[in-house]
Amino acid sequence: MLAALAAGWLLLAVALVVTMSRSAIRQTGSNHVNVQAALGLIGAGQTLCQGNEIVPAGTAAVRAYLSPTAAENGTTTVTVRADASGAIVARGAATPGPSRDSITIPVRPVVRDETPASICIATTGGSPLAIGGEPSARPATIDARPLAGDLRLVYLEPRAESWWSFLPTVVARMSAGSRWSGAQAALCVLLLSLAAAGLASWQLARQRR
Amino acid sequence: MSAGATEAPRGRTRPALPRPLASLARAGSRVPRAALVCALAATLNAAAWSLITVPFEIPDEYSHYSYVEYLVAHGRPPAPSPIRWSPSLEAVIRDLDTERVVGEPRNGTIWNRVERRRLVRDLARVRGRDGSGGSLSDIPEPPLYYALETVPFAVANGGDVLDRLELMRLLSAVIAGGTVLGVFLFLREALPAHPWAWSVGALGVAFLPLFALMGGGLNPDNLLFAISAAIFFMLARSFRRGLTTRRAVAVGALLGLGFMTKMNFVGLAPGAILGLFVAAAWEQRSLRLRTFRLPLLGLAVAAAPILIVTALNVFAWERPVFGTGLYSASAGHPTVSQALIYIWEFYLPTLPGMRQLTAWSFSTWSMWFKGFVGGFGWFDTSFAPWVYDVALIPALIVLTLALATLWRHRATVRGRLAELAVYATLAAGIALLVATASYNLYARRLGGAAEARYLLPLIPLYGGMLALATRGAGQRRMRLVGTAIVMLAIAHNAFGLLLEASRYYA
Repeated sequence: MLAALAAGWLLLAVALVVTMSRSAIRQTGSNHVNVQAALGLIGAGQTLCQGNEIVPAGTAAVRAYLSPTAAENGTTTVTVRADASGAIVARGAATPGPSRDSITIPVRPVVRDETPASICIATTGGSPLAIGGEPSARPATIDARPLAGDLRLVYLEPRAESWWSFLPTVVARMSAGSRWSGAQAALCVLLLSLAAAGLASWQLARQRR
Repeated sequence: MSAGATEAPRGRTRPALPRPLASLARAGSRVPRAALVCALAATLNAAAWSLITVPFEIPDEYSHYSYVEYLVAHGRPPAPSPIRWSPSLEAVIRDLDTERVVGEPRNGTIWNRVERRRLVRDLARVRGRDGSGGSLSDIPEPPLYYALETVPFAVANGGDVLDRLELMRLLSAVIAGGTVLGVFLFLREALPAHPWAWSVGALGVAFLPLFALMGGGLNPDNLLFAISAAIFFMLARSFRRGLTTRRAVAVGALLGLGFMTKMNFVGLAPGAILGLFVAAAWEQRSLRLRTFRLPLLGLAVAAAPILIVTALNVFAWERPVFGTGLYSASAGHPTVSQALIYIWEFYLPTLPGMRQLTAWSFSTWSMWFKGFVGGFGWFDTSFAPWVYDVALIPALIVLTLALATLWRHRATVRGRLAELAVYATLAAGIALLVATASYNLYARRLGGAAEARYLLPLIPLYGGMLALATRGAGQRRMRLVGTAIVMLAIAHNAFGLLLEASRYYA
């Protein structure tokens, strides 16, 4: 009985360690815009700008929800321009990759601080790109002409990392607006769930019949 | 000096409790410690879920918050009116970007400093509590759960929306513990031979992620689950030990409380009422008018609160007589054959030649099994597809073992067919209610109501299945299988918590 419980806990611990050790490129943030509609097309030589963005610290790539309408791919460039100073804080270029609904564009340098900014995207050559986003009152623009809505943007970290190394970021993001810090909330969740599971194991072990 | 005082023991004396309270205290002291441990584990686990789940990311949570807020402000439940969130609630929903996080698993909660600062500022600055009391589908719901939630709301009165919500979620977690207590007691009565299996069934429920998710949220479903578990327990007790006046009154009171909790209770009522009558007839082995004295007493007890709330709805609160939510509103252009096909497809695979009305050709798998294993948040958060395929293996093993137990003890099963028929009626009632409500929405072109949580009032039967599977392993392997079931539930729960963390914070 105790051996079965111990084996169960050991297996659970191994499964958790394996899961937490898996690496992937994580988000630093997104603009929460959902892809509900094609807002229009951006063609070669045009510039699509999305204002009112907050580019998170640590951002090393911008994923824009732009999907190629044909096979020929041009180059897509992105600039991150700070609202406060008007300076370009990061820029980059890429050709559309295997994803059919978005283009991930690495930017340099890595954005050091959280920056209110405008994201501008231009294409050179290739087929037009369909713009994915949702209707809004303060929409994105193409060559200063307002579109019907906002473009979905996701910001990414520079390299893949495991859940272990990403854990401090996850914890810091918890309990927004709460009186507790993320660390306090995470510790509480851990202690509560461990106490619950510990009680359950104790109950199984102590009951004789 | 009175005789009572003369007979009191020397030393410290306890003040005498009023008789009903003393009787409750006596009943409480008879609850096995194992049941209390299982209930405590469930409460702690639900509290963990309440902390990890972003505010208002439990289905309809802001509507329920609004109902409680209205109840506190006006001392009465809301009357149907256009939706208007209070300024403080609206500010939090807006600042958390709730509308864009719900339904879009790629959107976590707010992470950046600008958004978080705005939330903190609005929590402190926007304090208005004047709202309409929730959405039109929730306002007709009865007020009992919301009335209970006014207590934590009042305790955190000086705090902000998130303080109040967290305390209200904690009360739900305590209620979830009550549900698990009810499941344990039900198993003790229904499967008395192997006490160890009671803990397995109750703990399996406590660590079911969907149950814990709901237990960590502000939602009247939680009280409905607890009342349902208590009804299963009382009926099992009545079948095993006989229907006494006290038990008939208890079932009646639970019926009344159920109707004052959530309209979905309508689905459980036929089974509970049938249970009262069958238990009475079973005991007396006759069908004389006198046989039904106790069931009728139970129904009278049930009727009292229902009549009071109905009268208040009509004469004082300007509310619908008794709910006009999704379940009683008339459908668009329903036909009996269409309704039957819909109800079939709602739970079972579409048969050859059958017109497909629901969105799934195999709802048993896509909707119910997957939803039960893991459909969190507003059912927009799920495990990787392979998890559900793998989960099918232990699910089938548990089901096979449970069925094997029933087969091995078929003589006992035959002797308890009436009792089993009552449980089947309870299950069928809920299943039919949810399917009918969903069909009602379908006929009005408003989507559907296929959510696994709606079947959670039947959670005692799930606990029963786990306990039966434990017994099905035989005397020698029972402990091994029971431990495996609980450890699997704990692992399932742990990965559910990780999934929630990755959904909202990564």
